Amino acid sequence: MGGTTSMIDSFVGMTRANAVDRLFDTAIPGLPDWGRFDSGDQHWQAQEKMIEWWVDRMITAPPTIDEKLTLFLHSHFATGREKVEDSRLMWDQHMVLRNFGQGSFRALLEKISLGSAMLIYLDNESNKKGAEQENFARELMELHTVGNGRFTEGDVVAMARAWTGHNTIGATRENNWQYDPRYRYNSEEHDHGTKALFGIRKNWNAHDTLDELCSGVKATATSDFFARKVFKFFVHTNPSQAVVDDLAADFRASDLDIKRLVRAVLMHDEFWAVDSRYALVKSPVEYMVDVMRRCGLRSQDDSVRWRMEGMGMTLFDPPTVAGWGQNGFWLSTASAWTKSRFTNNLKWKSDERGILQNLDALNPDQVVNVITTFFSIFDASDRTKEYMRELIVTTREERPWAMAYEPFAVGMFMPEVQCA
Amino acid sequence: MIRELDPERPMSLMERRRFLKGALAAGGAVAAGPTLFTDLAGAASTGSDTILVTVTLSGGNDGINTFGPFGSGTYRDLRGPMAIDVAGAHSAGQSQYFHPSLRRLATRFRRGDVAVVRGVGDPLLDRSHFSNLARWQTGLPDGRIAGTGWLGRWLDAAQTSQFTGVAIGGRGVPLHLRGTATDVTDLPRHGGGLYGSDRSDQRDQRMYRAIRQMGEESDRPAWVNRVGQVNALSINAAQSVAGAYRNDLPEGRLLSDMVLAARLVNLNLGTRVLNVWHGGYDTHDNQIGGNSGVGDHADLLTELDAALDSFFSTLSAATAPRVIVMVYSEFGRRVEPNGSSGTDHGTANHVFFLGRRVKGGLYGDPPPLRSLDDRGDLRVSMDFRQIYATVIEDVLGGSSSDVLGRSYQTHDIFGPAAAVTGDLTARARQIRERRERTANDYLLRHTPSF
Repeated sequence: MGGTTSMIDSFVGMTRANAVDRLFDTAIPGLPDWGRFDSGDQHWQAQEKMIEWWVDRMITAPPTIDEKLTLFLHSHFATGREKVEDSRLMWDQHMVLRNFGQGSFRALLEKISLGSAMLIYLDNESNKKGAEQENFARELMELHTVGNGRFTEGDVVAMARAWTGHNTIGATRENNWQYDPRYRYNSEEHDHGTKALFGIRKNWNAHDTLDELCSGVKATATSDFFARKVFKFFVHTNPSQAVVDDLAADFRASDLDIKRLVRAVLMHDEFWAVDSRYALVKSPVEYMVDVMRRCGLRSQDDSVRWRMEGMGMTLFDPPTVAGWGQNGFWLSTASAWTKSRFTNNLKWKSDERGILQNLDALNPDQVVNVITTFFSIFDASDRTKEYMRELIVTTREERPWAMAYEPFAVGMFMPEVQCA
Repeated sequence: MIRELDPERPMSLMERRRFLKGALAAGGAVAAGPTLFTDLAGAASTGSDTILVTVTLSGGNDGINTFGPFGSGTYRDLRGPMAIDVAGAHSAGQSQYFHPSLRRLATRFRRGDVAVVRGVGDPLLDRSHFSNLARWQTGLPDGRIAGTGWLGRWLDAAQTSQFTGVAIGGRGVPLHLRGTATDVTDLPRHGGGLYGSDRSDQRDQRMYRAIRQMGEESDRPAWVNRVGQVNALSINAAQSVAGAYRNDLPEGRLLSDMVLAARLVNLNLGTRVLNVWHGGYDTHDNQIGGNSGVGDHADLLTELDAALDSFFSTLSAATAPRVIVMVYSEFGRRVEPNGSSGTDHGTANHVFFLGRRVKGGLYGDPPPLRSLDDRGDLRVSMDFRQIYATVIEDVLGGSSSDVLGRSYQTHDIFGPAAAVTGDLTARARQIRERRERTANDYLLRHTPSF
């Protein structure tokens, strides 16, 4: 999620291990309960409050892995309010991601799969013997564990049968036909017959399938798929198979301990390589959080929910079951337009905070230096600095009062600031 | 390290020349370099190029209930409570019907402006949204999924400006419009206050200049360069499209996107391909309510019907004859309903073409309902890449085998390119041709096998 220049300075001189350990050891207290967001039936409003809360938490958190890892897992186990239609369930899932996200992948997978948000989002709520529903069965394999091409259509059928009866309580007469989203296993709706899954014939049930995916015949595929995705999220998008193999083997050796995997990725030589600098385009949330933190701003200073939508990344509402993509996925005219309006607003808000007040007294070279340092772009090209300098000089001549605003807004929009 | 930026398989110079020759011969555009397009004035089209609008029904539209033999006993038996009642449906002749929500589309069909291609799908189908949509959008042989799409590869050689390819809706550039050297513009439906476009004083020009300059640097890491380019393009784009937003867009997601698409076409910025999304077709539940006219699917098709109609009525007289709309979805749905008033992922589907250049009627062999595959799904009778080959050869201009990686059969779906405005002879010829091909010619070409 980035850090201010002073935050970065606080890591200077540490060993890799010490620096990475600090990201894991920094616990942030104070997770609110649902009541903070509850807006009666207006779940859309609750979502907006959740978004603002999370953005503020990301802005104010000390250097920690918690927020970025939670963001990764939110996309990996994508579910969205638009289909779930209940922000409370999205909040419950968010808590699962936080409370189980640094432990066993197997435990997290079970918590998520049997959570109300996922049961509704991928329709397993209505997966019953004789009326099988394959949506969850397929995505469990394609998106959450082994990845596409590593299971057969027959596996999808068997997986769906194994997950029959793992539903929500649903609308019942006792409850006046009000929908109850809590998980319930209905044995009479479960298909107790023999199924052939991954070439193994037995009476599969949901939990057995997760064991097989995480520690059985599919463990290699699952560890490969997940380790590759974690590496791509944190480092760059083209890891070699050898790099992934090493990470996956280590991940398996730890019984799929997520913290250990993420730590290994952050300790990796390629993570620290110069070539990995700017190898990722910041996602809109990462970008917004980064610049707002630098400017000392909070969600209330901007319409963060609308900005997110304009940039294509509304928290708690990923666009598809595959979550969000990376790099080129974020680049579009529409997104850049929203981003430019965002920076336009932030330059005024920053001035209200007094951030720009000293710039007027500096010479153009000093202003360039202050702005690039402010955004931690220590390696801006000479030409970029020259363009910035020209802007400062002409603004000073043509529109003196805006001398600080315009270079600051352009600085926020610098390509390097939009990459990580 | 950052191979993602590199071409999947770059066109060699030779291939590019060959492609261009094909594109030019078909009245296509002149290729430009892969970087920034600054000369927008030179980008205006010749005034006769055909424009393709793809409408992506995302989630897997239930083609069986969109258009089909609603009166047949087999259909009613297999679809059970999900069957559409003939009473409210719109006849297309030959015992075929449009869904009750598609009244205006049916009217257009009877006018001869709509082609329905049946049985289209991917022979390698695995029923996953993501890989299917990705394969549909990629359009390469053997189900290969690449970082480029079929229209993106066409654009790589044919693009003349950042508006040659346009994604509508502000959801990012879809894979089928992505190439290795294309700069597709993504237009959001909320245009108010676009960066730069609503400024009458030139006070922000200094900032724009600095941002453009930073976009032209090429010696930084690849993604930094790319972000810089997109920043610069966005400023240019905002100023060019301001006219499309001058009047308010109508309410409704698809309706507003389709009207925006039509207005953009009217601006004549050289646009050749556009995509509009319509999501929500993954109707695993509540596809249908108590009768065939209600439920999620009916609502979606009502939206689609109205949006298609508004699209054509928004087009100017000069552009309307040049536009072809292609409505497709990544797969169809299973014949037999599931247990939650919905349908699961299926296989073959219809592709619809609309527009004055379309030779209206029915195409392709409809998959027989009595002979389903081992999963209870329709059998694909036409490879979806045949559709692409037809569009590239007969609509966009260019060599389809260069774009698709091999040759495919094409189908005689499109009439000659629209006349340049004012060419009454050509227009008269078109009208005569349309009269000649009513009912007996095209409607009887394929006998339904239901």
